[in-house]
Amino acid sequence: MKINNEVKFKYAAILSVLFSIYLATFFYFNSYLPAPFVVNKYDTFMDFYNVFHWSLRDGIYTEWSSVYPPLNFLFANLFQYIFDLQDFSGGSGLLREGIGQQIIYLILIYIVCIIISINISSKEIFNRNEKIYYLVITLLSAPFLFAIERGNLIVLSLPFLCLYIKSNNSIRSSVYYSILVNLKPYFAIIYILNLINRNKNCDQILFLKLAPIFSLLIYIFSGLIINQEYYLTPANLIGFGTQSVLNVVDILALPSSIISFTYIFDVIPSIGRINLLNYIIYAILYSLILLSLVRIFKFGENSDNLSILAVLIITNFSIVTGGYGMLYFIPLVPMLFKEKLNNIITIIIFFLFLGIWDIIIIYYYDIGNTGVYLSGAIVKINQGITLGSIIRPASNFIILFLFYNKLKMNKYE
Amino acid sequence: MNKIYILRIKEVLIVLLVSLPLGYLIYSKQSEKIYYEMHYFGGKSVGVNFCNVYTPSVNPLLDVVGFSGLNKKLANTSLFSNRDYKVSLSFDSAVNKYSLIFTGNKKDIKVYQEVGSEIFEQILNFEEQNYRTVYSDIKLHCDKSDHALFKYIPGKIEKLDRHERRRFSKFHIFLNSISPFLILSLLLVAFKIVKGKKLLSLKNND
Repeated sequence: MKINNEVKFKYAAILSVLFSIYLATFFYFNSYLPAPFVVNKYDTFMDFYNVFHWSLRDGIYTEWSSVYPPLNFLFANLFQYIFDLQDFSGGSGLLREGIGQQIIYLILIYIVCIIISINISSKEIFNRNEKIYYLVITLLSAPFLFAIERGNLIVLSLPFLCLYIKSNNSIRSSVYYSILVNLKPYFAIIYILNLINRNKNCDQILFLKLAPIFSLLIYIFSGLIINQEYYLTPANLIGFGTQSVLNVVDILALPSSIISFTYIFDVIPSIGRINLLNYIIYAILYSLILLSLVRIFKFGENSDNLSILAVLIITNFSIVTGGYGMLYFIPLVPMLFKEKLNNIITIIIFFLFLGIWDIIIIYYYDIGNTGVYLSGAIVKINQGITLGSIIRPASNFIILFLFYNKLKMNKYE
Repeated sequence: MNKIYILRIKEVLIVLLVSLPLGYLIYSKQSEKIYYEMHYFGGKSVGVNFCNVYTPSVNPLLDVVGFSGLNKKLANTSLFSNRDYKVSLSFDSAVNKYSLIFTGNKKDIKVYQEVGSEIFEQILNFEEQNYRTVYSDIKLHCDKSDHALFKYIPGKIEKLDRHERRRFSKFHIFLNSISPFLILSLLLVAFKIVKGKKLLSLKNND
């Protein structure tokens, strides 16, 4: 029996509300937030406070070795100016203690970003009920709640991604792309896909000419305003990609790529390392990505499919983007809706967004007592690898596989 | 297609002329920026050997927690919240050294010296207060009388170590100075591309 999308959205929205009730109840009784939130319960909102702290002083790219392009710090400065936030010298932790309550402004901005994104991407596609259900699903989704808890600026890029996808004017899409890539450099994959795309029309050629110019313009202009060593960003990015700076337990909190499975051996030593399995995972994933790229190069695709593929590559290719990268699926769902790819929509809504899979813990970590920022308590943390940590990366890979098959079935003259 | 990216000599000269004043302004402002550092060795509480029961010791008057309190107190004063300069204070407890770093302009060095001396006076007072609270009342009784165990040795403001260094590297100043030229050039190239496309679509419609 086929269930229509409105009914699916309704059930998913109900499950999302139930998950949020579970989170609130768990917090009330245990004084900390459970999985899928990171294990370090004292690190709440620190992605934002680190950026904010450094935006007010020298050494962003020399001392802190930031990988964020200067536009991110311009936003932090704007945030300080609009909400009149005071600086506290002595570290980002002290800053959080000083202005902690004002994080509510950032959360409100994030919620507005989601509302704007859904309005832009689902215009003339979703009916009123579907929009409301979809809004509930995304606002109570594991990736969004995770992004709020981290205070990560990834949410700011969502409206621009939606604007880019919906734009049918190559000048405007170049501008939106330039802002995107200056917020998160991995969006350069969009340009690469357009570059290798066989079927380029005049608008796409114009985009290919204008996008790098506008990107460089925004990069230099924002770098000039913050007046720091922004030209070190590429070197810092290479350093970030090659060094293992991420905590293994945090990688497994909300993973989106099957690459995260290779880290399971680090946290469960009793399994014994199976190197062959690691190689197989890498081989299968990168082969599928490579086949998709070859497909684009040999046969070409329209810009909507290129955008979908870009998001799939960004979220599957490595663990560096983080679990909140799954937020980039928000503008994809209406596009898939239009293409009637209902099986992919079901996987996204029920397996990537829903947090209920994290209620089931498969393997517990030995963490002990730790401080919790949100409650101020010191408690014993019971957390580990959840069912969600397995289901989400696997589902994301399945989406990539299904989408690749869909591309194979497309026929272009 | 390639000609679109190439600016003609006339265009380069115009962009250069327009961006030159702004570039010079950026150069002159940024080459003036300095870090001015002042270092001060803190006061000490010295334990002396009275009654042959105590080994002599030297203790800094502030620990990390005490310094955090001092920093919070000073942060609210007008010395720290000033529009013309930024100042940060740090403390190395291992060597009992305070470091003040001013970020501002070369022409304001005298201001930094005055403010720095004032800040260190306040540190001196804070340390003395700490000595009176923690150490001064500790006494040993021997030879039929009480003897203060610790002696207060204040830090010497006259012995302040000061020096300045350039805030931005030469490469940084150069890049920022030519940024207006780069930005205007990129805008001109983008304009030419868009104009070229519009002319082409008009041509195709004819």
